[in-house]
Amino acid sequence: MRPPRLLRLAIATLGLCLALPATVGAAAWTVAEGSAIRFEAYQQGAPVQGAFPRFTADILFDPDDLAGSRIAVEIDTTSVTTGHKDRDAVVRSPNLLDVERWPSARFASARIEKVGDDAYEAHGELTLRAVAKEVVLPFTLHMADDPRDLSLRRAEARGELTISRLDFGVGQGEWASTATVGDKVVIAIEITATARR
Amino acid sequence: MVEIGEAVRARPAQIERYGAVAQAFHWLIAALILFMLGLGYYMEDLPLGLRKLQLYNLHKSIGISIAMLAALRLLWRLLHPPPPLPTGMRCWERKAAGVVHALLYLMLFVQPLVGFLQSNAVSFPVVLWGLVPLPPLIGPDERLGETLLTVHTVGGNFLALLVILHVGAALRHHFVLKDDVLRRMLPGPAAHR
Repeated sequence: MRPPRLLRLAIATLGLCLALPATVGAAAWTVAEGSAIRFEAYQQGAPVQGAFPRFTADILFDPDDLAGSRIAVEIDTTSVTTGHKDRDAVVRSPNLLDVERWPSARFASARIEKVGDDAYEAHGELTLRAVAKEVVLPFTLHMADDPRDLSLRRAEARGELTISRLDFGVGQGEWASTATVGDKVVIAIEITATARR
Repeated sequence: MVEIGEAVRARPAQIERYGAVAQAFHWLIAALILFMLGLGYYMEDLPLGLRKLQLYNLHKSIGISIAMLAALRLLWRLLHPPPPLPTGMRCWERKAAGVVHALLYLMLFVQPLVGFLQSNAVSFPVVLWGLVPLPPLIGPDERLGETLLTVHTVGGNFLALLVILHVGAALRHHFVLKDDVLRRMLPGPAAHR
């Protein structure tokens, strides 16, 4: 026997209410192709480019609900590349990133602030070699409808963060010297992400 | 100065030497090349560490400096032609001397250039004497970098061969042919043309 129409409506409404919390609040974003986490280190003051091709990001973001927005990025440190395999091996070695012991680095935002038109700051914690430090990641954000899929919104975020590698212990032994390889490292993020409208 | 007067009298055919500046260029670049060959063979087998990085940086700075010195040297040579080769040298000897000298000059530019491009390709910066970052001429390309490293190594071996030929010929002139070819690149009393 089918339940009465009113009961069916009540069940449907209840179901909808249970489903809703997942869809209201800040939207969940999916990182798309073309996203990159790069860095720039310095040899004799001259920049050397590198990248972490493998990373994952959990992004909840809504410019109108920054309190409910958060960014968590997990970087696969074993994927580090600098365009020279011997140097890559040194960067992965125990004296630098020590990727065998710490195969991932993390950034997790505690709060996100709007600081201008399309300009934000993610205040949070960067964990590298199991050393966690408070950092601020300023970024710009442009959002638009995805031209290829009108059910999606597309966001492009660009940000740069300067750290001291020695603060995180990236530079043990001889690499603690900053005479040839500088202490400063600039981390740059270029994230393209999509979310359901 | 009696001795010098006697020496000059004792040698009726006066030596026409290279000038002081040309000699300074020659011996400075010669010393740098020998040092660079030794450094090159030594440092390439080191494990990549701070020491290797610093030796490579030194190698790069000296290499670029050699190319700059060689440019000045060629300019000087244009304005101050070298003394003539001794009379009595056979045709093939003159040709051989010309070819080896030309190749030596060529390698003073080719070897630093290939080394510089190799650094560019594997995205290692070249900072002249730790002060002047030189902009890369080519973009990152690790495979091209490996090829250029091979070319640079072969170039180093070739340059070493040219040095051996050059030194061997100079010693042959001095000890076998007993002419003034080696002496004219050594300091001594100036010739009166």
